[in-house]
Amino acid sequence: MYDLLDAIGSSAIGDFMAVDPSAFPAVETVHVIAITTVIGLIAIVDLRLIGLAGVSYPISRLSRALLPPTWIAFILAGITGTLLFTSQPVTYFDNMAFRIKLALMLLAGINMLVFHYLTMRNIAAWDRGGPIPAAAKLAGLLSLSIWILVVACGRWIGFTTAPF
Amino acid sequence: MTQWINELVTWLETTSVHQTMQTVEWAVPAVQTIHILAIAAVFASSLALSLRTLQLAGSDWSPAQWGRRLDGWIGWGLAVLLVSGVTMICGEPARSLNNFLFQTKMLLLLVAIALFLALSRSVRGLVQPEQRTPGGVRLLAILLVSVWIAIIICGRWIAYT
Repeated sequence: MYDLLDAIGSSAIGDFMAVDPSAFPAVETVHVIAITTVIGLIAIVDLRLIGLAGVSYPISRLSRALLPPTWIAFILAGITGTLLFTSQPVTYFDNMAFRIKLALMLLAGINMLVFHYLTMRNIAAWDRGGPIPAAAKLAGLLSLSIWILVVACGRWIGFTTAPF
Repeated sequence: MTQWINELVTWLETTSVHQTMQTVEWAVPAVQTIHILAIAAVFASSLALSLRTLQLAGSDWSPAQWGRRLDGWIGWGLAVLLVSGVTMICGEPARSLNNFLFQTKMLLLLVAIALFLALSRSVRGLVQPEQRTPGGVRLLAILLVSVWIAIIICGRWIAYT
């Protein structure tokens, strides 16, 4: 594993990310813009799912409306996140906040799949304002909580690996 | 730098918030996390409102309905940004207040608030979901998102200058 990490770190991209003085802050800036977009847009859907805001908007229509910009931002966050990782692969790999962050994102993905393939099956009954089932509310609450923790872990990574 | 900023820096360094931010290990990342979450609320809400105004997403609701849904989040988000931002300034007043990018950011923030108020007022009249948005309102939407991107860029680079 560490051989692979060392190879990533000494690759042309890893070297550029570590050495060029503007590369890291520039990529980090795009990362911040991307993650704030992802989390903010997901939160709009989560709050609708929990039944706290925007309840007159059909859930399926709302998630379909916000999904394209969310995915674009998520892909951008993934690419920039990977680039940031290449600057110091071993340091990040060994960092506890980084590991927790990846685990939380995996959980968010599982939560999304469970909602999409199980909970949403009978969405016709509650899409347009009927009582939202507990499983759907739980999915929204979990998603909101997980993404908030992802941001916290992300900030902690910066604090435990670098002076910024 | 101007005299009043130096006096403000000296005074802020005597406050208890400054002491806490300097000595409590987790205080800075905790406040930064709150700040980023508030940016997520404000920026993504501004983006969603702008996408709707530009007729790119969310056509089930009129721009006026989107405005009613998101205005509060942008307003309260701005309030949280202000409180967490002031807390971070108290932590390192000399580094932030004297920084050119910080000063630019504050100027852009005033522009963003003015743009948001103008857009929020304009969408109130757009009550028909299928109604075409006037060019001026579209321009407001594009400017609002652009200025927020510029603010985030300044914010991140303050740490590196």
